[in-house]
Amino acid sequence: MNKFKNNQKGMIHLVLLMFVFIVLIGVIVAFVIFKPNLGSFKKMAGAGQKNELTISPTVTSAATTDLEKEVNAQELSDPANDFTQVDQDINSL
Amino acid sequence: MRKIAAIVLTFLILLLGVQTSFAEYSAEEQARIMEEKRQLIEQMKGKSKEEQARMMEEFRNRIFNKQASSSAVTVQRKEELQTKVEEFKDHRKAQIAERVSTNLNTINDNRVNSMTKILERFQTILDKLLGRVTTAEANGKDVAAAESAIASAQTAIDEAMTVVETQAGKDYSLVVDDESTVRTDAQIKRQALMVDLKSAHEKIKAAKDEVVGAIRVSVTTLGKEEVDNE
Repeated sequence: MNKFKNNQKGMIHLVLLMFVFIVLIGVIVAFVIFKPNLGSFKKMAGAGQKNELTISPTVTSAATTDLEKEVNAQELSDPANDFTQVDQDINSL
Repeated sequence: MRKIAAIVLTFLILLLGVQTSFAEYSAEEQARIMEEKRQLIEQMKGKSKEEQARMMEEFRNRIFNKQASSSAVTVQRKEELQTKVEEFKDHRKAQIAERVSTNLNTINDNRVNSMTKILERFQTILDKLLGRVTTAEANGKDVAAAESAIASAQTAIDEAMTVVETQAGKDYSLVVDDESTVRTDAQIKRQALMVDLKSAHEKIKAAKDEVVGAIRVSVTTLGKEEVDNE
């Protein structure tokens, strides 16, 4: 009886081991085949995002360079603003 | 007990293997991106002011040519629309349909012109920044981070330029099937233009963020004086 139980345990361990092997080999193979874009992983993890904390709003005003001011001067309004007249006309069609 | 220990050990070894392969891939990918950025920076550095001006002129010309070819389509579609609306019983509706058609194309042209000017400005600012970073490098400063950020900004500007160029070649004239469906036809064109302009707008915003990012990285790593230095 004891021997049978031991064999059963051994089988369970073997199955578990095989399962772990198969899953891990699957992950490795999938990674090698599909070569996922690491950018998306990084994006999910928040890497590459602008670290706004390095320049606090109060510091920004004093430390803003002329070049940054030039960039910020280039304001582009929301395209939706251009559609007021067109929307009125479409509604009256 | 021994068997469990063996399973755990095997699992850990495999986990280590997976982690290593991820790390290797990550390092490879990073090296490729760095190389691309380095090449881009070298290209940018190699351009004289005259070449930079010539490239801007070429960009303007491409936009102009696209707008010219789209105008030809617009004229043809305008004639088709005129023929179609002549059949309308409601003359007021016919006039409005023509006006909507003209206004949609005008909105697109105005937006394209505005975005073209903004991108030219961003390009000029980025070229100026690179000039100052190059001067800082000559003064012995470590400019690796600044150059990498400038390369990212250049890529974002290039992408936005491509989108604006494509936008310049589009026509949004109304194509009307019937008087009863003219409103739906107009809504479809209006929506198409809105989606396209929003998408282009996002690209411009992304380019702006990247240029500001490049300036800030340069300030952080080289100092404000170096970046503001004319």
